[in-house]
Amino acid sequence: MSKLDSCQQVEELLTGYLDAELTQQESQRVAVHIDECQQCRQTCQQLQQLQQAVQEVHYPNMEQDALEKIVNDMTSKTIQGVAWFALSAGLAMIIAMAVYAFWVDTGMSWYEKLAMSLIWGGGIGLFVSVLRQRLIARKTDKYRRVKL
Amino acid sequence: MARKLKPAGVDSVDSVFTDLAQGAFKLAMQLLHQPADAHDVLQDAAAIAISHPGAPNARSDEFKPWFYRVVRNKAIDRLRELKRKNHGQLDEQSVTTRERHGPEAVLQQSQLQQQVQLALTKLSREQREIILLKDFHGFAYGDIAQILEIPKGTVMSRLHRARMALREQLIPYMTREHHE
Repeated sequence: MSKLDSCQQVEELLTGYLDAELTQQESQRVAVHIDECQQCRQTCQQLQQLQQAVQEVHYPNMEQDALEKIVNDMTSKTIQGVAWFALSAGLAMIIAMAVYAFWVDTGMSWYEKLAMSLIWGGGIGLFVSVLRQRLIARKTDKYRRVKL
Repeated sequence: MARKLKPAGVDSVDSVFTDLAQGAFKLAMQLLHQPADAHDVLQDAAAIAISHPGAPNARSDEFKPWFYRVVRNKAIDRLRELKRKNHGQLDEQSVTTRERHGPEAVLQQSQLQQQVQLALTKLSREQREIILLKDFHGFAYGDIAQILEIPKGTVMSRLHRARMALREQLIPYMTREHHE
């Protein structure tokens, strides 16, 4: 095996070697190679030097106020989620009971029930369609983040 | 030792969350360069972490890479949005950010670190993020694969190419430091 081939084969493994992500066998192969090959040893040292420098590069922390705001928002959103679920479940139960009571109530003739159902159904349908449009617009509105 | 003044549970949960959020914020900063954008991204990611049915348990080991993946994807969405608005003038912003975070921050770093930080901004986003995820955030290859949504087998080769590209930019500087 020529030296050049060996360098090519080992080169990519240098990264795994530095990160301790190689198998024992691969790691040993690299160790033997860099012991003999000055060029690969130098590359390895340079990569290690860079690794160390990247590790110590300074990036600013998020400001404490901003972090607290996110934590508070998360808490409020969790509470809001539970509250919305409770509210929707309660309303759904009431609506279900009302519909049931309306249809089993024998005091009204079937065409009166039908007319009432159509009026209510139409009203609810319109409300839901407007709500849906609003929600879609809210999600996709590209000017939403514009602060006036 | 005067380390534990608060009850263990409360203290550890708070500090774990704070570290996670600060780390994720830094990732967003490394991709976006602007604190305001990074903050928005983190806020969106936190909202997803609460509401997403597939989110892992916040105390499990899978949560951190999962959360970083959400932050990264949100940051990329934001980058695209900014690119559309600014017609790709993002490099100027990164220089402004360096100045904004002040001379005191820059002074704490060695010259090589400053050069590294500058060189990182010149790499492609793909190369920058993989180097930072490994060397700055300390993720293992398996976690990086999960965050970047790539096969684990490609992490090493991609990372190696990125590191070699970074080295290419810094070779003149590294040689000089070696002789000093």
